[in-house]
Amino acid sequence: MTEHLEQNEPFESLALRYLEDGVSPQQFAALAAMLRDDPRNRDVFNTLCLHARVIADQLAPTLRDELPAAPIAPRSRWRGMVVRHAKPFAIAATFVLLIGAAVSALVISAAQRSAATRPLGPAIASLVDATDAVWEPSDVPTSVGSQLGSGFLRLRSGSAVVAFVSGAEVTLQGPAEFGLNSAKRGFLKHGRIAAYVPAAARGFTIAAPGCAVIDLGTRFEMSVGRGGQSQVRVTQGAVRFETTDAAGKTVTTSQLLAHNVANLDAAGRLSTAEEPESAVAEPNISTPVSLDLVDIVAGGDGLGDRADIGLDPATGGVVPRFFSREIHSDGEYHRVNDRPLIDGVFVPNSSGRVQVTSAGQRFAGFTAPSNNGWGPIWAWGPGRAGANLDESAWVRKVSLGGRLLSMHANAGLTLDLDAARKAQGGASPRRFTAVVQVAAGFSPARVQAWALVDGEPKFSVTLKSGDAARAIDVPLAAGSHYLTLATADAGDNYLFDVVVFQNPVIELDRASRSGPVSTSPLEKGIVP
Amino acid sequence: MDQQALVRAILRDRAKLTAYLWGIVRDVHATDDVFQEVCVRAIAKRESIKDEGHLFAWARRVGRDLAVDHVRRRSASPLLFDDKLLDMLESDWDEKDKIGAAETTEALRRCIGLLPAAGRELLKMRYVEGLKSGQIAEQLNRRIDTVYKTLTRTHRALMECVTRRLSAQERGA
Repeated sequence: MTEHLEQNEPFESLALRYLEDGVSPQQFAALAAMLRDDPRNRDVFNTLCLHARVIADQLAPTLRDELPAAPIAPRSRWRGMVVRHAKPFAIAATFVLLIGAAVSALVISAAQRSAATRPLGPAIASLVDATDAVWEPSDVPTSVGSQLGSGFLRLRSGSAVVAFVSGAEVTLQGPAEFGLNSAKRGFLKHGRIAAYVPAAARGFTIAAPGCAVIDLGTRFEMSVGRGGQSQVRVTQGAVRFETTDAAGKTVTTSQLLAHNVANLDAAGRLSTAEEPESAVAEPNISTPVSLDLVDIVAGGDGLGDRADIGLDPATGGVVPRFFSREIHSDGEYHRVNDRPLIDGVFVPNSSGRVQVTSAGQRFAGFTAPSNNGWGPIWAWGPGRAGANLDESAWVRKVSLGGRLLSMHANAGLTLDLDAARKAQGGASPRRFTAVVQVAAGFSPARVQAWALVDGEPKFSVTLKSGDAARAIDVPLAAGSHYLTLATADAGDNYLFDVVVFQNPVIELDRASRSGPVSTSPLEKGIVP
Repeated sequence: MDQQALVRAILRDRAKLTAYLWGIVRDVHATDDVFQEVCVRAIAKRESIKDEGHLFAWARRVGRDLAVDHVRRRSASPLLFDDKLLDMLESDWDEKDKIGAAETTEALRRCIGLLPAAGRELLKMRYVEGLKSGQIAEQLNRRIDTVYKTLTRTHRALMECVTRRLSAQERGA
């Protein structure tokens, strides 16, 4: 083949053009003739295809890890051409995100003009809580648990919590009119909000008439009057505060740190001030603190955005690279080293008495005659789904984005709630929430998903391929010690029984904290 | 064939099958869809599939029909190889089935490591980020013909390197 290759560059160029759909009918005819006439060309063509697919499907991490990422396109503006500066060579995930942002921004811009916008496209957030909420006609659903596309929420009174798939959470205090335009961007037309932005959602932006707040990782409050005046108060961490002109172009940029307050009056005059610490120690609107199980599985403390690492449910070992093969269980419960918030792992079976905590608590309800598992419990990084065919078989066609934790049956994972409590200064875990669904595989799946507290079942569902996602909301009592998530094959077989937990978080009760609490990387001194 | 053995075999050598399908449909997502459909059908038909050789020949034939259907649905005047040429390409894959997918992957991994950084960057942009040559040319401020030429040279270097490695491995064995 080598000798032939040295003489045959035009054929290969033509083949490469064909493979990216870039040939004319004449060029295609020429390519077909070359293939028909020379078996060596057929060998080169098939080899080219094989190498390209192996590189894309199996060697992508190698290339991605060793080379710097392509430049990321500039942040979009609220008004005007949202991706006007976006270079087409931005990494695929960023590109997709920006396109989504562009569509959403245009939709909301239209809503501002006509107030006739309806939700469009995939869910970018969920309405996770509401207290005494009275709604006015809104562009998106207003019942708790609803998935929200882009559009305006109009809250007459009460409060509501919107969780973006990026991980950011925004609490609205009525009356307020708040627009959602992407997983990392919202628009406060008027009213008052408090935003909590974990590290994973850094860059989350809330725009308002005449200004925009870009979160650099933490919490802030914002209010916008109907007359156009705005106030931003940083309660923890830092934000970038931009004033904008009527066309949305940035006029001034400043960084606000904790205790800083910026006021923008209706005439566009900006003033900043620093409040004494006591004045901002407790935000008026309660903001949740939540521990991200994806980060915890990946070795974090639940407040970061670690991912792309897994755990072997059969041994408790850390799995640095995703694999797709059978794992054999010894039937024992295994502690996990280097994961202080994880008590241990196990492989469910149908023996009737499966140990699910290190304290020896057992559970008899699993239907898992296979006795073995497949692949690791895996913490998915953004944009990884579909990066590799093995991986895509696990999370492909999962309808929602956000933080994903996958557990192929049969697998069990137990969190140490006491350790979480201790790590968070005594803050008490109050509930576990997630959305659970089955990933599309190569054959129909049927699988059980369980959530246990101290060995007692609190949630279970048997899901089949194509079933709608189910919300999990498990209250955690003050004296709870262990939270267990498990998947079991449901008695048929375990092939392609992949359960995905979307945005799995343990919410902490802020009020019960007894001491200083580390709530973000910023507070640990990791200032961006 | 036993279902688990069938699934293991098809996952192990999936790159060969998807390469063949991609050569027809030229769209990664459509290739994945066709591949999944082939897998579903293979599992349903497992009792009449004798062994791995039979499996891959059958899967290529079924996948080819699905891929051709897909291309025809996508375009009113599709660019499709005729049946005779597809038969010829399929015969070439029979030869390639003799080389394990794992060996090819490992050889490729090592050979990519020997490429100059510019070549690796080009492969990353084309196959990891999924950019077309026109987009790569725009980013690198080069002519598109130059990108094709460089990509061709990079692929040629990889083919030579992989061929040598696999031959040496065969001689060693």
